[in-house]
Amino acid sequence: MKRQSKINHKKNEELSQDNSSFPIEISHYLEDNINIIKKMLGNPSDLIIRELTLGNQRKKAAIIYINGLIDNQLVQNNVLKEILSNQTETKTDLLDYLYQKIIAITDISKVKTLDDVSFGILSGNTALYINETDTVLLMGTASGEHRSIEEPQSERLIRGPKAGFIEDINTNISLIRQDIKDPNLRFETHHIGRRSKQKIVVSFIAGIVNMNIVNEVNRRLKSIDTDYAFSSGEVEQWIQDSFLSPFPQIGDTERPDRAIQSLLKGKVVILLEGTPFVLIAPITLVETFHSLEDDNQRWLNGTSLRLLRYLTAFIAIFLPSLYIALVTYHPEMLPAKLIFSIAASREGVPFPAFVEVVIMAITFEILHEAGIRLPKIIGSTIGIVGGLVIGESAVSAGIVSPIMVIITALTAIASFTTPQYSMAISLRLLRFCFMIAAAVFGLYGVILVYIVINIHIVNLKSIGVPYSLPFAPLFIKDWKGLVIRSPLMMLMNRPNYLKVTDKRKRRQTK
Amino acid sequence: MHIQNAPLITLYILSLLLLTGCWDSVELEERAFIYGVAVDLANDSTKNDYQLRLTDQLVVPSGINTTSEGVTNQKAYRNLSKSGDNLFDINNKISKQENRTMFAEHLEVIIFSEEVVMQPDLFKKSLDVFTRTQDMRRGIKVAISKGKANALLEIVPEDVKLPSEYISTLLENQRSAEVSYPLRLGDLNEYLLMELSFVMPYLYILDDESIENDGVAVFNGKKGGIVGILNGTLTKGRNIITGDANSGTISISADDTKFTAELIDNKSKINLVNEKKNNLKFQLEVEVTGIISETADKNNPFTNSEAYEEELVKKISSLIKQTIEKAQNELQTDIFKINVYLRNHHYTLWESIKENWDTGENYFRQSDISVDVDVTIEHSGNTLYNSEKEGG
Amino acid sequence: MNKLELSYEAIHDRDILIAIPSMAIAIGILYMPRKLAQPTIGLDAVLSILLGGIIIILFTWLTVRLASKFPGQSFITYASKLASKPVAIGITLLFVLHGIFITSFEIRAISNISHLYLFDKTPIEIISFVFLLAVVYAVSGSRAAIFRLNALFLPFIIVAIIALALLSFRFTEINNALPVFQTNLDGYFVTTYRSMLTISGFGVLGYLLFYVPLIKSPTQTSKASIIGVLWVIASHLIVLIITILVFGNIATSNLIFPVIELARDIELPGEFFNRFDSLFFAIWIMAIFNTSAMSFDVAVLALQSLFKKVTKLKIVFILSPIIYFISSLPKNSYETGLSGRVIGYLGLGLSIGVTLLLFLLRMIRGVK
Repeated sequence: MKRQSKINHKKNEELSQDNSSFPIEISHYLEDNINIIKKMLGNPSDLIIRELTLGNQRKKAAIIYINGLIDNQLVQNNVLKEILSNQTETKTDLLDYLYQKIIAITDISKVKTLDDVSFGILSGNTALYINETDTVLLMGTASGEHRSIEEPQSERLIRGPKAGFIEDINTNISLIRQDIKDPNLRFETHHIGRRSKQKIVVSFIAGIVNMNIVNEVNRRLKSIDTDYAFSSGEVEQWIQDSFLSPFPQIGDTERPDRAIQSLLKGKVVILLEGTPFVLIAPITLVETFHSLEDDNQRWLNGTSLRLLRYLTAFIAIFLPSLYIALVTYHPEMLPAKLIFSIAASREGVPFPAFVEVVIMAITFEILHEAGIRLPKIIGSTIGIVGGLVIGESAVSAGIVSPIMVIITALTAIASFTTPQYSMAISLRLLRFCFMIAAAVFGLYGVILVYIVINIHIVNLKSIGVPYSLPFAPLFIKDWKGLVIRSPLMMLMNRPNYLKVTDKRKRRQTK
Repeated sequence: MHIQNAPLITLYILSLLLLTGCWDSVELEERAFIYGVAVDLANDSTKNDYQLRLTDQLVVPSGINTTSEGVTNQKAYRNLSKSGDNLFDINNKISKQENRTMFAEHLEVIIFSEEVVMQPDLFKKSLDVFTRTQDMRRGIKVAISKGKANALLEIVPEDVKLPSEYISTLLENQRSAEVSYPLRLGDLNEYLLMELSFVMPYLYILDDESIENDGVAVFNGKKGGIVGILNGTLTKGRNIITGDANSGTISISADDTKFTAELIDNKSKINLVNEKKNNLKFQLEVEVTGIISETADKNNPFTNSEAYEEELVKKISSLIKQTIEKAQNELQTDIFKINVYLRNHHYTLWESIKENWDTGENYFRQSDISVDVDVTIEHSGNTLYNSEKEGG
Repeated sequence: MNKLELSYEAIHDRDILIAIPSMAIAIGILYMPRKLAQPTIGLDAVLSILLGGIIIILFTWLTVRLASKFPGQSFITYASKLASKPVAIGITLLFVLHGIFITSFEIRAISNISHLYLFDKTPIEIISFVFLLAVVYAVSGSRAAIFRLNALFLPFIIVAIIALALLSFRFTEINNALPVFQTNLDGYFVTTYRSMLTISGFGVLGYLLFYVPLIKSPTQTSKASIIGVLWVIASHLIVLIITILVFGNIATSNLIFPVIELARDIELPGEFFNRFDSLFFAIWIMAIFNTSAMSFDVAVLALQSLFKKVTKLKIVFILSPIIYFISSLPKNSYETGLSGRVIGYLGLGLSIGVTLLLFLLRMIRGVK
């Protein structure tokens, strides 16, 4: 942790040295300005410069934009047409006149530095230069191509909204705004990416959230210095608390409803331009096993589903290692009949149990990875090839025992029930640690690794909030909403473990 | 600084453990599961120097598994035996014949032959190994066999593949009042530590495919050996006295009355009436609840259950009297748990007599036990009339 | 990197409540029934536990009451005010020694039992080494994290005790509870003393002198600590009663670890897991881990207060080889048990003595 921050710091210094950006004022003459812009952007073919003359003053002017980033209709109808058809005599400053009376675009600003202009043009704004004027009008005409709102591919729900976040950040913000009409909903914008200048928005509800968390998130986001943030995953890795941890310390979601729910719990949601995955911080271990389905269903079903997911997480982590420990160290723990039938099925298998488990587990991981990378249609054949062909023939060839195939399959299926994919990967990784420990020390090793992982968890934090909440420190009142899913009338208050400012969530009406 | 080194250190430790580790790891197919044990006297043992013969029944898992293709008539077990002075040593000798690691945690049943248990203190000594070694469960069942114990481990009924499993389930089956509860090793250990007398299940071979569990062997705690055998009928009497006869039957077949009652509940209570050491008087109250399951009697069991109850009281009383007499005069051993009663309720008296309770002075023999039997017929079955009435 | 302070790192009254059973329940309870059954008859040792428990509650209350008067101060600071600086340093060093010895003892004891029940050939040195590694990892983290760890593991321990009681219930014989009140006075006396030893967890409750001042606003601390000790007493009672009801007094006094034997007796219903003992034992490793981590931590805490300039990690790395060395000293399990008793009685004496001394000094001098 410390080391990482040191690196960040060092990097910051280096960068500020070779890239010292002091604002360049805009030149007085149009010719110069056009040349500078052309030179700066390398005179690309999609840079459009439309020169024109304005009014009776015969002032030269130019409209500059990048083709493809802007809404052409908008520029033609609301800018060009208006300017050309209003060639009236004006005494006042031409720029002000255009700004106030002519140009029919709401998002318009005056800028004075070249940096702002170039950034504006690259973000899809249209710049209006007027000769002998030091100010440039930047008109918000951005209209990139983006896909429409679809049902999210990850985190499927049976019952729940079918909308998912998309790559466009403004759409994403509006998706959140549409559902929360609270004036306290805040969006704080940063730009990250030295070259990409991506917009990153920290969203929270003032009055609910603990401001310490927001400040910490902002502080960490400001410390990021990178060329380009490929995805929210990269941002997550920049701002997480411990880079040595196998656990995800920041949640991610593609679902607006999950983001909104998190906001209302008093969390911070971080949206990044160019990715449909938004970040949720802070999170705790137990929350990674929550699905929105729990809240959509009635509480008994919700609680049962949640408990089932804890059980499957347990299976996903422990089953192979318990198999190794029980079979090679403590057969006495299993009843005689079961152990005899396992022994009979292992008769003739050439490998020790540990090797057998590792072979099957790695085979499964390979199949899983292949299934994800391949196109969807071929992906399903991987399942058939892997599951049926390899499993079946491995058993009939006598390389693995049938019981091993059952265990691998159960473990694999169990690991898919974890709603947070990043957590599911962590669990798969931990499984191998437990397997090694079980091979060396049996149950003793399993318990020791479990203890060590617990030590790690109690030391781990997500944006300064202990990962082991609400178990330790104990917030027993929050269990009814976080560990199980109690009936709604028992969930009147917001969970308190985030030390929210406004505790009351629902009110009973009579 | 330590974080930078942490992965390296972890790697060192991990490789150290992985390269040197796995001391105790034994693959399942390399284990030989001992499922049953028989202890006999070796043929060459003399009067003063007993040699024991231990037979281990090892499981052959592939023989059990019937799911694999091709029905094999492979034996599911393998019996190995050796003689020697003490059991742990003999077991070690046996392991010389076995290619796999012997593993006793699933041991289900231990059978001692009658002749081993007859010898004073030999039984107690040979049991020590079963309670001391940590891989023995306290739930292992212990039984006595008539004749050679290892012969029992060869009896394979048609439906069970392992003789030990057969014996174990046989001991658990409590549908008759003429057998004792299965004796768990843990309980046995407690009895021996307290030097109490108790009874043990008694098995004998009926034919090639079946063993019968009938009667009990009576163990005298102070003498440290078996003093006699109680046959099935008397075992029933003993069970009724101790309140353990919750199943089984009592049938009466005199000239004029002929019926069978099924026992469904049994309670007993014993009370010390006086505290004269040499003539202790006990009042025994026995309650038996039964149902009429078969009758050829002229009385209608539905309307006239009192007649049946009366017959049963007579029968049970005489059975009890017989049993007490056998215990007091012939076996001279307290098989009715009166010792436990005395220890728990008359501790000071017990402390003064416990050394001579059923040995030496034998206060038990001198005591007087009067019996009060109460029988209730709960119902008389599904039919109203018996066949005789219909005929007449 | 982390400057955020949401006051999760502070220690509260509730943490003390959880820490007390976590510290006190360890090896001792595994053989406690034998120790208490030997000189008594039937279930009479229950009285001794109650009596010993009340005494321990009293002393814990005194300890907490004393220590909570000095919030934010280290033990050495307030002890110097009450006694004198040299005395305070001496006492602190004694507690450091006690912490080291208890950690070593617990590590050695768990290795011995693992060796007895889980392993045959694995060397004891390796078993204790890996256990020590885990303890070192825990202690090198933050102190609040160790308290959080207590909170994570304690439910397992409580569930294990309750499961032990429920699952062995069908083996109980009410006759084993009889006869009542036949123990002589001597027997009660000895067992009261012994139960004080295990309830105080070999004197580890004295560590409260160090931990309670860490609480910033100790309002309910006395109450919390009494509830904590009550949990310890309750678990001792449950374990003792169920062990004696199942085995009877005499068999109990003949078993080295009656509680593990009890777990071995249980065969779980449902034919999936056969035996409970390995599971129970595995959970108990957590209990022993908590105790070891806390006693190691108290040694570190005490040393930190003495040598303010030395970093925590340095202290941990210096102490760990010492602890490992001490844990390898006893030759066999008998010597381990003996050393445990000696450390335990000394620790109990130390805790009670120091508490009484400082409490009286405070009353006389009226230091605030």
